[in-house]
Amino acid sequence: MTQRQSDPSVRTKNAERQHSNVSDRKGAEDALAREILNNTGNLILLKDAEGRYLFVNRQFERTFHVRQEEIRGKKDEEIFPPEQAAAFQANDLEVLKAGVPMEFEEASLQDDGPHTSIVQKFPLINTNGKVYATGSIVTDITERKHAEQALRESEEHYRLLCETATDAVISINENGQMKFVDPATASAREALVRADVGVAFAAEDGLRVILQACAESMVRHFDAALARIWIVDKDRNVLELQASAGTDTDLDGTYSRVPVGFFEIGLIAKEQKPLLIDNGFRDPRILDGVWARNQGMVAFAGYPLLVRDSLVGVMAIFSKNSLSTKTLDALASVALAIAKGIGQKRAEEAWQSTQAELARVARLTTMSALSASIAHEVTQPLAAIVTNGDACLRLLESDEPNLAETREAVTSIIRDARRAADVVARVRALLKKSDVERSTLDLGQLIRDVLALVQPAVATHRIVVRMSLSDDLPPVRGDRIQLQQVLLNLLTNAIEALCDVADRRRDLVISSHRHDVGPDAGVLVSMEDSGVGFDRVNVNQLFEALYTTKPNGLGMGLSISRSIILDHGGRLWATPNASYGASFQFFLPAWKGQKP
Amino acid sequence: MSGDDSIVFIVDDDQSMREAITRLLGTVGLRVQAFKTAQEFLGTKRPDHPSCLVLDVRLPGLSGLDLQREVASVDPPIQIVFITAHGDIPMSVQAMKAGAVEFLTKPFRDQQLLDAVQQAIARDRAARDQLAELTAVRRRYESLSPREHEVMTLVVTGLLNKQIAAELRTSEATVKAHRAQLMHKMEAESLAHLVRMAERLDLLPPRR
Repeated sequence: MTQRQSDPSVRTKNAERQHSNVSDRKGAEDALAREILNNTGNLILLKDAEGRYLFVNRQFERTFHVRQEEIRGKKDEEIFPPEQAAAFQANDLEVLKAGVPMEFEEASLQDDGPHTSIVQKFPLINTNGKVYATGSIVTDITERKHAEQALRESEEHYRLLCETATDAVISINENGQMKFVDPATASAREALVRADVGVAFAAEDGLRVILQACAESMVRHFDAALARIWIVDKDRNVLELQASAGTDTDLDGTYSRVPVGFFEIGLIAKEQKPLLIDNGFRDPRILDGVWARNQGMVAFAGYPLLVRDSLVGVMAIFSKNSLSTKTLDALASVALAIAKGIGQKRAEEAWQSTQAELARVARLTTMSALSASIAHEVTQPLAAIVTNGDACLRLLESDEPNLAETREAVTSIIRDARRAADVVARVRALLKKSDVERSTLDLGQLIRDVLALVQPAVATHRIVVRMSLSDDLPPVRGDRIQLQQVLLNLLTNAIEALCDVADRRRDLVISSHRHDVGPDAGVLVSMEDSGVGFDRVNVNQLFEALYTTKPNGLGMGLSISRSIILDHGGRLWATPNASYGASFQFFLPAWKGQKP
Repeated sequence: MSGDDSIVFIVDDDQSMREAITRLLGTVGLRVQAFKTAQEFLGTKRPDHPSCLVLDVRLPGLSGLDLQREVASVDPPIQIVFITAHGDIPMSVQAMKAGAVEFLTKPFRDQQLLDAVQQAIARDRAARDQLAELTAVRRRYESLSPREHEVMTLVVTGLLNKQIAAELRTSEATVKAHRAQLMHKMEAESLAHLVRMAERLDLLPPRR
């Protein structure tokens, strides 16, 4: 049940209206009010503070087959089924308590079945400021609901269907009976294409394969003779043909690379507006109009593919038939779906490459530390071996070789070679041991430990820290050092965000409590600061490696932190606070004990 | 190759390395004295022979670069050949700027080390020769009488006997006698030789 509070100033206006004593126009106004009350399609009613009906309008009388005279003084439970009556009363009570207008979604049983309505309820207030009645205006949204539901169901059905078959379109009704759906309507075709698009993007294929599937679906369902999709190369300002289905499937033809701003396709990209040609290509300004006519084309429709107002590509179809408005609407909606898909795909790819990069950097860091250690441990004996070897050769080259000395050198060589081998074995053992060590941890204790580390900074910057650590945290299992790093990183970020705050308190709230996701228990840790916060727009960038807002930052902290939490089966996210600052939260699943 | 009395000092914390370098230098007849730490080297009285130091950069306690700074004021300066298992460019630049002869990365070629050591010893020998010569000149200068000191100071500035006599309010013949005496005592072969010695003794007035 939804509700919304509206402007309390309405209350005074209502009160004024109720107690207006302007009498000369009153008669005329009353007549007008009655006209409105009795002719509106909305149900309008008044109840006193005890819930007894004072007034209902004609639409109410008609809908529930009661007369004004009968209902006056009665309560909901005398008219409606108990459940319904209870729900109505509960909502009335809320308005009485709040003393302000509110909006609810209410259900009622009517002649033709259940109806859903949006009900605006408002209090009537007497001169003493006491609420003496509630009024309701009921707008029936059943049809809209049905339409929404039908759309959802049909999309769901089509999606299901199109995963298995695209030739026959069958729908199953509530009784499990099959019925054929006429695919000739634009909305049905749109649903089919959108389903194809959804399926294509859900697959693990590359972008070209996905877009080709989209183009083929448009040819199949939109009466398109040719469907093509270009992706913009932002660096070179060029559209590159990625998919082509129908009469021409060549990706390397004339329009394989279209500069932004040139030809119809490039203009769509430049102006970021759809383009429709539906006059049989007789306009001489149309480039390649002759080609289109020779091909028997009648119409062209092209759409920019936009992700959050940023161009990612262009989609276009040629048709041998005129395109209806509904088809054009459907195409626009498909363009949106494809653009969204491309946006998500790109984001995924970017995330994956970031992860790969991160892993590479981490490896490099480890490698360089390791190589320094190997240099010292292994190079020493190797250098001694080489030098002793050189000495041996020189000794043997002399006229009277000093064999005793030579033997000693060779003995040294063997000893040092063994030593080098030992070092290598030790390094290998070390690497094995450096695998993440997981143990059962008390997160509360971990938080207190890390907070102690940053206590000097907290004191220096006069930050007020409040802790709300729940006692009944389930144990989590993880690498102590890694999780400490995450906590330290989040705390350091919070402290840095607070340092620049001068006009309000520097608050930092650290909390941890049990948080269950479905059947899985876990711990939710959150750090809320009143610091400088971050732009909502940048929320996705925050976790990218090498992204930083700090002058001396590396931009690795949050990225690494998120990898660590993900590695522990958890989640780390950020939200800007309603007023000031930001909240960083992470969830870790509870340790379920040793698997049997 | 080298039958003289020169000596190579080695400071390396790795015993194998000390032994190997000792052996290698021994094949060309060089005498070697090896130390485990910089402190050990500093604490030992070194024989007064042409020498050089083969020094590992990375040492426990005082590092090789620290030791280089430590001995910078010794006269003549100790010639150093650095050896390291993991030298980087800034480190080698620092060492070379401070006067090191060579900076070798382990494992190095034997000839590289031998050449560097020979070059270092040659430099040390030259420095020692110069120092010995200066000591001798100073000793001879100290054997001059006060009057001879005065005459020598004026002779090397280029004054004629007559001018010196005027300056010292004495006769030209007396100046001539002093001059012959001091040339003999200073073992000067010519006026030019005497000027060079005066130069080393810092007797010349600053040039205009």
